[in-house]
Amino acid sequence: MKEKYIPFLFLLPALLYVAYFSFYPTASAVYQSFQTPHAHFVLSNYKGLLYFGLSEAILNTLFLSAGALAIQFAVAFVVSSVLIREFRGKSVFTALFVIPFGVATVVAGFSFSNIFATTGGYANSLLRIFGLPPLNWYSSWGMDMLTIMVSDSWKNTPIVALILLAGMTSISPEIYKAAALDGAGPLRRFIHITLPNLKGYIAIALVIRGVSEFNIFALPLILVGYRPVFLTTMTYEFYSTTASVYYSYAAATVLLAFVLAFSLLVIKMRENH
Amino acid sequence: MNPKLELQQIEKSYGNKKVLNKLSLEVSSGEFFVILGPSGEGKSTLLRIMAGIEKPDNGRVMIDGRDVTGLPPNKRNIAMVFQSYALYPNMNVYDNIAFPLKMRGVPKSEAKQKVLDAAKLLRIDDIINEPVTKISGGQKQRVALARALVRSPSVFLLDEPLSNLDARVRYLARVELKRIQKKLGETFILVTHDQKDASSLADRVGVLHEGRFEQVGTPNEIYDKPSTKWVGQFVGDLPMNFLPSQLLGLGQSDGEVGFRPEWVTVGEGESECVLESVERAGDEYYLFCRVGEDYRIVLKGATHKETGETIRFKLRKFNRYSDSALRETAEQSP
Amino acid sequence: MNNSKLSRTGLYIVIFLVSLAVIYPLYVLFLIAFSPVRYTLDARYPLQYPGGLTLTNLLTAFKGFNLVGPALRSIETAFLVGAIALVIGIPAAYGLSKLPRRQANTITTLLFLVNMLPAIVIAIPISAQFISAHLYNTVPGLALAQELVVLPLSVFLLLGAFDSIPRDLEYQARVDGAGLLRTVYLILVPLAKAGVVSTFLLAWMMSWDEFTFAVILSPINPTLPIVIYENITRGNILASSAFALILTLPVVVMTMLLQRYLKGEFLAGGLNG
Repeated sequence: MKEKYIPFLFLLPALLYVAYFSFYPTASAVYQSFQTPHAHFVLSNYKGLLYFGLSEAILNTLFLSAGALAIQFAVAFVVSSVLIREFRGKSVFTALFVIPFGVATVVAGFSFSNIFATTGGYANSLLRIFGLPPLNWYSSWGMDMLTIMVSDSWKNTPIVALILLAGMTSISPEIYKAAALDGAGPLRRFIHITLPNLKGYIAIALVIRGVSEFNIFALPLILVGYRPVFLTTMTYEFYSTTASVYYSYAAATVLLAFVLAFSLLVIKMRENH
Repeated sequence: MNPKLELQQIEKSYGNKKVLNKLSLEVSSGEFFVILGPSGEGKSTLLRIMAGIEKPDNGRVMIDGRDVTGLPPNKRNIAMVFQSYALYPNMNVYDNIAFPLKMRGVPKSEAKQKVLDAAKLLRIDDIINEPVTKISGGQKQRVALARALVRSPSVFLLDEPLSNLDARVRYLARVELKRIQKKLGETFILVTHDQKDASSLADRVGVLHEGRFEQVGTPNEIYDKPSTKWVGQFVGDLPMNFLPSQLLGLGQSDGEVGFRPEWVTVGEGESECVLESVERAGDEYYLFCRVGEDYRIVLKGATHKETGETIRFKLRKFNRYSDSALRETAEQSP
Repeated sequence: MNNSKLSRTGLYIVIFLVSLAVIYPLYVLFLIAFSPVRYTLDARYPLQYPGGLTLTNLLTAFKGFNLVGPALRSIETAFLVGAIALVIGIPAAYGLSKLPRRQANTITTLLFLVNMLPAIVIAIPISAQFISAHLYNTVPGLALAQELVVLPLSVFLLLGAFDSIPRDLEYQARVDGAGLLRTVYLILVPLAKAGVVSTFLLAWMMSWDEFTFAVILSPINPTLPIVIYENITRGNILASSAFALILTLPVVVMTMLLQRYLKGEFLAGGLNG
């Protein structure tokens, strides 16, 4: 009867919007990545990208994502373990802790570019106070990566911590008490009780943050410019500078492929448990 | 004359579970009809189908002779009171009651009169401006009723409207509900699992069991002459007693005899049982006894004996059942 | 007993360090904006405390750069994004609340999938389309694109809000004579007020921060994030600091307000799937 279809009628604007503004352009980008002004289904764009450093872009993107995720999850676990307890000033701390989430990425980029400056900068002046020598924060690939990872993690750890906290609050405290009575110390309790129960939440946070890490764009642009190159900045570079927009479509498609592969990986891992 | 509301062969399933099984019913205009049944057996579903909130898989709903099965709730001219009262939390009492009139486009001045009349009838005119979040349970129930009255619908549907009230308030609410219905002369259909609601409010009761009405009759009929063993055991403060007719020396080789605890004379007669426990019932006692090895019955009598003692009793009134269905009723001369 | 005292101190150390880490980049922004340049940018080792307080930095920035234009641009876009989120999101969330849980979860997951498609993959084809549709470099165009970032979360929050309204209320409204549309907009939406407000604010904030679509779809009349980026790359640090302040202040305030709403909705809402 008609009644059954009414919910879908209400969903229609959202679904149409998504189809037109998301799926259609994506399909278009992938399709056009195989085109050139002369041919219709070729791999020449991708071959060209390899020449321009595609493999480097891929490696950088993967490395950055892995590192950033590691930092975010490590810190988030610590913070959510703190937030699950009661202490004086908890609401103030919580409000404070969430602030980076609301600060614009560009602003974070601004601050961190002044903290991690090539010469001078606030990080170096801090090091000096502790009697340590100054660093050139952009002297090597590793330093570049670290700078971006730290800036990115500053902004994004709160959301991971909140998700993990949501998961932790759903674990009943009695299980911990029972385990403590059985002689399990805090580390063992964490490994055998907290982690298994958080699996779903970790998966959610992993997918959300992981994909965002692959898509990271503004921070590298502000902090390091076009080199070291990432899949996103490569795409943008081709779009805004050269005559061949097809190269940027190809780079974009490679990025898309990684994003999809990563999500499927996380989902598969989740299913196996 | 056309019944006010009629259900024809209503069927409804949820997944594999058949909740309503070819159920039919006719409710007359001005009648107070109570649907009585155990919790979770489809009473609320039935009411929602009457209201149009749910659609039956098969069958028809007729109101005032019109087939309304395909119509949404707002086109059926019915009023409904939910167990939770469903008062609009962001409005005050007045706006809640006025809401149905607002939906019909009734002009404000006319609406005001109707709202105040309804409020007066239900004695909530003194809280007319209170936000509904701040009033008591009993008051909420009356606001819900006032909101139902305000429109003069064809049928009033009430889903366990008294269940959330505590016992004292509940008794008064019952009396008042009956009074209002009589005064208005409207058709009320009320769903409940509570026997007392049925016995004190209903003109007729429909006992719902396994998706069908096992019996439809006046409160007295279903109490004195339950048409099946199940009804006899479900209706009443205490279940009807059932014993094989042989045990009571009542002839017939098969079949059972059903009798209410108060249908016996205790202390005389040829039937015997062993007293197991005693409970006070006003000036008399409920005597919980064992007959033979396997059967347990309850008798009501003035005699008080010690547990373990044998009690004699005699049936003054009883019903004969075969295959769990009522065959005849009988009275014995003392 | 020793154990808990130790963990108590550990707790407070972590809280202290994390709070410092959270505030530091914002503090640096504050220093650069309000301290005389000789203590901040021109110094080899910038002072970790305010060497002095001055408004000259800001005044120079305001005089030399057009701050109002980009700010207005950002504000208009953000309001439009928030409005669209409600216009599309409220019906979508209502529709989802009427569907069986499994179907609703599938569709919600689909919407979040949308979120994962890299913005840069979508922005480039869309820019071509927008040019022909006269939407390029316009506020409505940018708002429609930014909506992609915002929509899944908006629907998720609104769905949580609708789910928390007792079903009986909707039935009662229908029985009382309200048609479907009036039931949704006169009864349900007002009761979902907290969710509606949170959704609007969150959408507003996410648009305010958004970079990728803005840099590709509205480069000529940029929003604040783009202007900050441009000034950083050109070396106008003081101007960027002024822009960064304008960008940050409203958001810090709103984040703290939202935090109260967010925790309740987040935990209670669609995480039941």
